[in-house]
Formats: sequence, C-alpha cells, structure tokens
Amino acid sequence: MLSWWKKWFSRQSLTFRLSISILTSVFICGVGLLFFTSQYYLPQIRHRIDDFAHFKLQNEIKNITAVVNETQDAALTIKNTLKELNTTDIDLFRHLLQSALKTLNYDESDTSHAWIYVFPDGNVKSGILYSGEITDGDFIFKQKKIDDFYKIYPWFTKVPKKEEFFWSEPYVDNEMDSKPWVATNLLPFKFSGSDEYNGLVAVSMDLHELKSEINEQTSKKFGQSLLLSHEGLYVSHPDESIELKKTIYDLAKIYDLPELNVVGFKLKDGISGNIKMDKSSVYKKPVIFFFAPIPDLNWGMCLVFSQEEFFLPFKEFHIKAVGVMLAFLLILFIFISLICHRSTKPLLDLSKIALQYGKGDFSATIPDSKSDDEIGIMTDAFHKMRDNLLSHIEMVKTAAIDAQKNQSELEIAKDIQQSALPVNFPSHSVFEVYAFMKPARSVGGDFYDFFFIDEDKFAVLVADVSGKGIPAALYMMTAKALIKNTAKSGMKISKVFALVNNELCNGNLANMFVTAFLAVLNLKTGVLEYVNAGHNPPFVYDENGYRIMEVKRNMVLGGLENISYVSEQLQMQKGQRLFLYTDGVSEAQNNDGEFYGEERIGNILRQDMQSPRHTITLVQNDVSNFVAGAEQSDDITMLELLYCGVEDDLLVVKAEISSIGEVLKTVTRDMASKNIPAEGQSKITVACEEIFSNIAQYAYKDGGMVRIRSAIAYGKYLLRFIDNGIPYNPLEKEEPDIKGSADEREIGGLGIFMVKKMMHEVNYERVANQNILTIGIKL
Amino acid sequence: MQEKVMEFEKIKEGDKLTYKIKGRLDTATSPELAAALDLDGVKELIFDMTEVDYVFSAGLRVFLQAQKSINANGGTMKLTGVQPSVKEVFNIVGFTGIMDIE
Repeated sequence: MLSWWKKWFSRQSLTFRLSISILTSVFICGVGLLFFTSQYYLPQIRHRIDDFAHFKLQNEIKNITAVVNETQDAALTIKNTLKELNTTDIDLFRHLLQSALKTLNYDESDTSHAWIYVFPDGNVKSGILYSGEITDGDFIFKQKKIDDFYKIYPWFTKVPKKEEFFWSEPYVDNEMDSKPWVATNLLPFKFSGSDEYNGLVAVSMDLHELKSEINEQTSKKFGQSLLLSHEGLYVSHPDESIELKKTIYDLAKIYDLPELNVVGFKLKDGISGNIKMDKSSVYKKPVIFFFAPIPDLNWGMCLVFSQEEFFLPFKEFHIKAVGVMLAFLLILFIFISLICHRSTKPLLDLSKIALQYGKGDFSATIPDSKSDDEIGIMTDAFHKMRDNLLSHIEMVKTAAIDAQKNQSELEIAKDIQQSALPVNFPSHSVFEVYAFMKPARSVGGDFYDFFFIDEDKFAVLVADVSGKGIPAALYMMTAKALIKNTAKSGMKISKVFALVNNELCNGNLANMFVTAFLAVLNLKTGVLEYVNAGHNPPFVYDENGYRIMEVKRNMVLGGLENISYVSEQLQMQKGQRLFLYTDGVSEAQNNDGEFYGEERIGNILRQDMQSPRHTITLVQNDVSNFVAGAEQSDDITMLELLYCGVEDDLLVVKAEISSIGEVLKTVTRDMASKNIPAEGQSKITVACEEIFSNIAQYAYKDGGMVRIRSAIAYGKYLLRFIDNGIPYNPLEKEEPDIKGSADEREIGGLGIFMVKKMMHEVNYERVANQNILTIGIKL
Repeated sequence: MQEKVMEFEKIKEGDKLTYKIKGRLDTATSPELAAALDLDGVKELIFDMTEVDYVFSAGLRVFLQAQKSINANGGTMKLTGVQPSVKEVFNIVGFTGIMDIE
C-alpha cells in the first residue's frame, strides 16, 4: 500500500507534490499547535471555571444571606425589645411588628408577615398570637388566642427552646390571605426578669421574593441555580413544577441519579463541593454540580453547569481556528501552484523543445534565460546543447556522406569485379563448366574465367592476386583482361603467360603478382593443354578417382620479367574432370585456427560424380560448415571442367531454305540412331526447322554454310548450329503476343518463340566470328 | 534433287473450299500453299490435315493469314484431322484459341 502510494505520488506533477507536501506539513503543524494549546490551557480553563462557579455560587449565597439576615435582624430587633419589657400591651406588639416589617426591604407588591406568639404559662401549645402583615403596602394587625399552635404550624414541634434563630422548612402560610410560600425565622424570647421562655418572635421570608432574587442572578446562558431547603426541598428550580413539591432525594429516585442524594446529604451537613454527573434522562449532557450551604438558613445552593457549556467557547475557538487554517491552506495552495507553475513552465517548454530536437526538428527556438537561477542555468545549457548538437549533426552528416561515398564506391568496385566474372556457363556437348567466387571483403583478388578461343578451343582460368582490397582488385582486372585477350589470339599458352608476365611486370610499382592456372581444352581431340604460374595444382578426376595433378610450377605472373613458361598436356578421357581452386579454399580457417586443407577437398570430391555445379556447391557447403561462422580471411574461388567427349559432325550444308529437307532428314536419322523418343524427335524437328530456316534467311547476305553437330550430354540431346554469318542472336527477338484474336495477331515472330517453348535448352554464343546456337531436349 | 514433301488438293463446292494437305508445311513449302489460297467469296474454308506430319512457323503464318482473310469474308475456317504433334504446335503459339481445330 505504502509502496503503491509512493509510486503514485512520484508520478504526479511537481506542483502537486510540492503543494501536498507543504500543505500537509502546515496542516500537521496547525493541528499540533491546537492540540498543544488545548492540552496546555484546558486544566487552566477548568480551574478558572471552578473559580467562577464558586464565585457565582458565593455571590448568590451572599444575596440570599442578605435577605436571611434582614429577616433575622427584624426578628432580633423585636426579641431584644421584648427582652427589656414585661408586658402584653397589644399596641406595643403592633408597633413592634409594624416597624420590624418596615425594616424588611421588600417591594411594595410583596407580602411580609411577622408575628409574636406569647405563651405566658410556659405552655407552648396554647397562647396568644399577635400577627402583623403587610399586604399591598397596608399593615394589618391581628390578635388571636391559640389553643393548639401545632395545628397552625405543624413544623412548630421542631423548634428548639433555645435563644437561637430557627428557620422553618418552606410552607404555605395559611394565616395570610394571599397564602404565600414562606420560610419562617423563629427566635424564642424571655420577658425581662423571666426565667422561662415566654414566647417566640417570628419573621417570615417570602420565598417568591427569594426566588426572584435568585432568578435575577441566574444567567440564563450559563449554568442553572438550584435552591434547596434544609430537608432538600427545591425552593428554586428552573422547572417550576418541581419547586416546593419535590425534594432532591425525590429527583434522585425519579431520575436514578444517586449523586443527587450525595449533594442533598452534604448540604444538610453544611459541606460544600462539586460533583460530576454523567448524562442522564434529565441532563442530556454530562454536568458538574457545584454546591454550597447557605449559612444561618442551613439551606443549600447549587449551580449546575454542563461540561460542554464550559468548553463551548473553547470548541468554537477550535472550529474557527480550523476554518482559518483551511482558508490559510487554500491561499497557500494557490501561492504554491502559482510559484510552481512559474518555475516549472520553462521546464515544460524546454522538455517540449527537447522532444522536438530529439525528432531532428531544430526549428523551435529556446526562450532566453531571464534569471540566473537553476532554470536559467538549464536554459543556457540547452542553448549550448542545441549548438553542439547542430555542429555534431553536421559533422556526422558529412562523415556519413563520406562513408556512404566510400561504401558506394566500394560497392561499385565490387559490382564491376563481380560482373567481370562470367556467370553464363556455356552448355556444350563436349564439356561442362561451373565456377564460383566469394570475396573475403567487398572486393577481392581472386578471379576465374572461361572463354572460347575459337570454335574448338575452350579455355578455363583460375588466378589469385597477391594482396587484398582495391589495389588487388585493380590488378586483378588488368591481369584478367590481359590473359583473356592474349589467350584469344590463339597462340600457345606458355607464350600467353610469358607475354602477360612481361605486361604485368611493366610498371608494377606495387610489386604485386598473380598466381594463375590456365587450361585450354581442344573440343575436337579432348587434349587439355595447361600452364601453371605458381598456382596450387588442381585436382583431376579419372577412373581412379580424384587426385592432385602433378603439374610443373612456373614463376608467378608479374614477379619477374622475361620468364619462360612451360605448358603441359593431358589427353582427357570422356567423363574426366579438372577441379581448379585458390588457396582461399584449402587455407580456410575455422575458429580454432585449423586449415580446411587439400585432404578435405579430396574427400569431398570423392563423394561427387554429378555435374560441376553440384561438385562446387558441395565443396562450398563443406567449407562453410568447417569454418562455422569464422570470418573469411581470403577469397574463395573454385572452377570445375567436365569433359564429356567429342561431338558428332552431322553435316555441313548451304544456308538456304531449300536445304531444309536434307537437314531434317539427317537430323531425323541421327535421332533415330540415338534412340531419341518420338515426342522428343518431333519437337527437335520443329525447332531444327525453325533455327535452320532462320539462319538460311538472315545469316548471310551472299550465301554461306551451316555446320550442324549433335551430341548426348548431361541427359540431353543437343543440336548445335554453327555459321560464320553476321553476328545475330535470334533469342534476343521480342516474344510475340499470343493472346490476341486472329486479326490482332502478327504473322511473323512465331518460330523462335516456338523453339524457346519446346526446347529445354536454347543457347547462343558468338565465338571466334561464329554464331553458335545450341538447342537441346531432356531425355 | 528435290523430293516432294508437301502437296495439296483443292476442292471447291460453291462458297465452300476444302484443301486436303499432305506432308510437311515448312519454310520451303508453305509459300506454295499460301500462293494457292484463293479465298474470294469463300464462306467456308476447310483444311484437311489428316496427312500433315509437321507444321512449322511458316505454315502457321499461312493459317493465320487464311483465318484473317476468312474473317474479313465473314466466313468460317476449320482444320480437320489434326495430328496430336501438330496440334501441340498450334497450342504453343495460342492458335487453338483463335482457330477451329479438330
């Protein structure tokens, strides 16, 4: 997952990555700062809230205490007055009550009640009640004989007989017309000189008044105030239906909040404190109960805060802080994007330009660098790169053109050299020849050649020029032309080599030389005359198989002037072969540095009894297998000549149309004697007529002779027409269109076309001013 | 001495002309036949080739010329009794497509 994220992230743009990195860092810092401040300030705030709650609680208690004290003071004033007296003067009592009530700082609308209860005989239960009340600003005084005081005020039983203030629980004062909820302060008194308590002074505190006092103080926004009587009765509660009806213990039971019991008990014992409460059915959120007893009154005051309420401002601060932070991050993001865009735009431009340059398009101009920063440095580098590239390309181009020129010159040289080697191997009834040359480099120094010296003499040649490459090729061309031209003069071949040697020596500054083997076969007699100028001896094949021919080695050609060469002769037998080669074959090396050697040539030749083409292909493949991919170090040249025996002269006739009958009769007889199949005979007859009539019509202007020979060679019946007429190759005639309708067809041109179609071999040679046309059919 | 290697017989019945040829139509003999072809008003030309051993290109030229002439006349030409070896010659030069050869 992490690695995937890393991979994805690294693929995003620089702007995005930078933005994300910075924004994330800033966000983490911000959150960290907030966390730190909250951790640092939270306890302090807690503390301050405690202080505040206590302060508020005490403040409320103070207010209540003021009312309590007022009430108590009023009672004390009356008591002190009564203590100095010993009378039951009603007017005095009226006066005392009226002035006491007046000291109470009540609003005009409030009602207040005070009374003096006198039980002269020490019997508390019955006595006289002097009651004064202020209702709607009017003072009403009543005197009442009481039989059972407990009946009027049931709580009266709890009043201790001590000269101390006693506060009753809240109750409804039925003695008053408005029947208000009150709590009454009682103070027993003794008349002057009396040992027993003679009565009670009582001043009631209107709870409505007290409540309003509390409500004034209670901020509706912050916290709830609760006022509890000594017995836990709610005097003040936000829910008015609870006030003066339910105790804190009741609510503890109803709402299943045992903490409320604790609060009640603690207050009853006069203990202050605070207690946390989890959320419940009444308090939807966790709250803190601050509570403290009210002195004198022995009631309790509570302030209830929800914890959330405490931290609401803090929470608001957090929300606002996060909001501000996000806004800040957004602004930051915009800034980063702008900066990144400004910084990376030149990079993107440069990369586009680089792509164009990569495609070889240098038309795009690099913007000028405006600054010295990294982008500026890069732009400068691009400028330099462009200039260097352009000059480099120019250089490479020139070099490539030069190389191409050299290469193409070499190619041309190679083509010229290769084309100098004849590849149209003549079909002849007397011999068969095939040759092959594979240069080591593009141009080589080896060559072979074959040509007719005259109609009865056929020459073959294999030679090897010392050295390699262009110089060797040039020397080879010279040597080849010299040998061929000299040999064609018909002179003895030893003389040919002597002449060629002198020519080659002449101006041979490079000290090059040629080894060569030249052989001329007399087609009439089968005598092979040959001369060897320093060349490796050929293989010869006869009935005993292939063997290396024992030949005299003469001096190489072009080495030294005025050398005489000695030629030798061999009477060839029908089927005898001569295999000529250069040392490129015998000295072909494999990767281990081993030479192919004459022995291997001999072995391979022994396997072959077929055509020279087959022999040479076989050797060629064997050499390839032997070197097995090693670089060819020397040119490889081979030539094989197969002697098939002499041809039969059939007849010599005048080249005239009228001779056709005689020609066809002679040829038919010859074919019959050689057992040529009937189908072949008719085809030969057709072809023979066409060729002969062609010669009769075109060869001579003033008449001449045609010699016709026949032979069976390489599985073919061959017929040869030899004339001394003008050079004329009928095979070069354009082929007629044979697809048109009768009216579109040309009348002429069909004869040669038929010959080509019917014969397996049709061959024209111009040798020694003679046209030699051979036709043949496979047997 | 010249032996007679080709001879023919000419049979005319109205606008039907039949040449019954014997021997070899070569470069020497074909002009003889060509010269003897008189196709004026001939609508049906028949060469009876039953006894023809060889036809060379010179002979083929005669037949092509004859075919052209008879086409001009709006007539028909037919070669009958052609030997297989002779037929192959006609085949090689594509005449079997333009001539009625039996």
